Amino acid sequence: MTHVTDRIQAWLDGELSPPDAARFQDHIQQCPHCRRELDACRRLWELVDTAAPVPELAPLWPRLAARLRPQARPQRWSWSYRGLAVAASAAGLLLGWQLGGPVASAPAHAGQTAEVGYLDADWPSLDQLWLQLENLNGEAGS
Amino acid sequence: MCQDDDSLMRRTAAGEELAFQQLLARWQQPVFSFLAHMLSSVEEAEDMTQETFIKVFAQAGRYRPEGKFRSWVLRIAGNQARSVLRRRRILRWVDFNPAVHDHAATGPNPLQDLARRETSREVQAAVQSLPERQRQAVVLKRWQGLSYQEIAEVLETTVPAVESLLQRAADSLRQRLALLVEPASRKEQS
Repeated sequence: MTHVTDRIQAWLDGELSPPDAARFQDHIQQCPHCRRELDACRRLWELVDTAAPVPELAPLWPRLAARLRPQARPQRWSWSYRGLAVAASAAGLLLGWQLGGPVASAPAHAGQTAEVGYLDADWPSLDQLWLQLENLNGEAGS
Repeated sequence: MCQDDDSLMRRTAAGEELAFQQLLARWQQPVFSFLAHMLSSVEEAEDMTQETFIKVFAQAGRYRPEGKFRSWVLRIAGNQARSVLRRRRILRWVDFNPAVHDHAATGPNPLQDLARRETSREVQAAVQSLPERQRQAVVLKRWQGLSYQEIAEVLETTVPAVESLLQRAADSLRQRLALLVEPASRKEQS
């Protein structure tokens, strides 16, 4: 008689096909050895199943939210910030040119800062900026 | 409205925070339970549950909606557990931490409780002593209630291989827990 001890696990877990399960049960009814093995396995898993209960975990979302929210839209935000940084740099350049040019060199009134002078000034046209840049290059070269 | 996991993952991938919250509420306890049994440490299991869901969120766009969210999330959790176990081996930590059992219920009979806790500790230590894949198969089957097919998906193996893993695990556990498992069977024989 061929024992079925190697199929006990699958039978207990309900994983045998119907024909295999029928063969298994026929054998178990006639074989005390396999029946004992089956009972021991059943007891083993009952022990395992009742061991080590796991406590209930408090909701994770409040802790996860803090970690996920900064990453939630990482690309869009980072590109926006990059755009802002480029715009700010460009504005800074314009400001620098303007302050280094006629407005800054004009005598400042008492209590008046260069920035106020800049704010009061008209925006330079591109031609004017180009001209200033050529002048700067000329000064640097002389 | 109760949505299936695949729909929630689709919405999570589209950036809907609420959908992710629903998934989390549904799956945090099974994932935590799996990790607690794998790692035998409630604290580490909690940390790794967080890491698992951070990965779920980050990888939502790559998830294929085939109705197998449970296998997918447990595979991620299994990888987290593996990295912790590897780190423990490197650090030569003690493999078994009984903290997880100290939550065993206490009843009106302290002696009975003590005996139950002791049994529970022995069983858990025996499960912890199994090779990693056998342990994972046991935890997924006994405490997560997965089918062999689902376990095969989590472990990325075949159904017969799962059956073999569980059979070998049962043999090892029976040897190790012989005093708890065998006496009754001997009584029946006599």
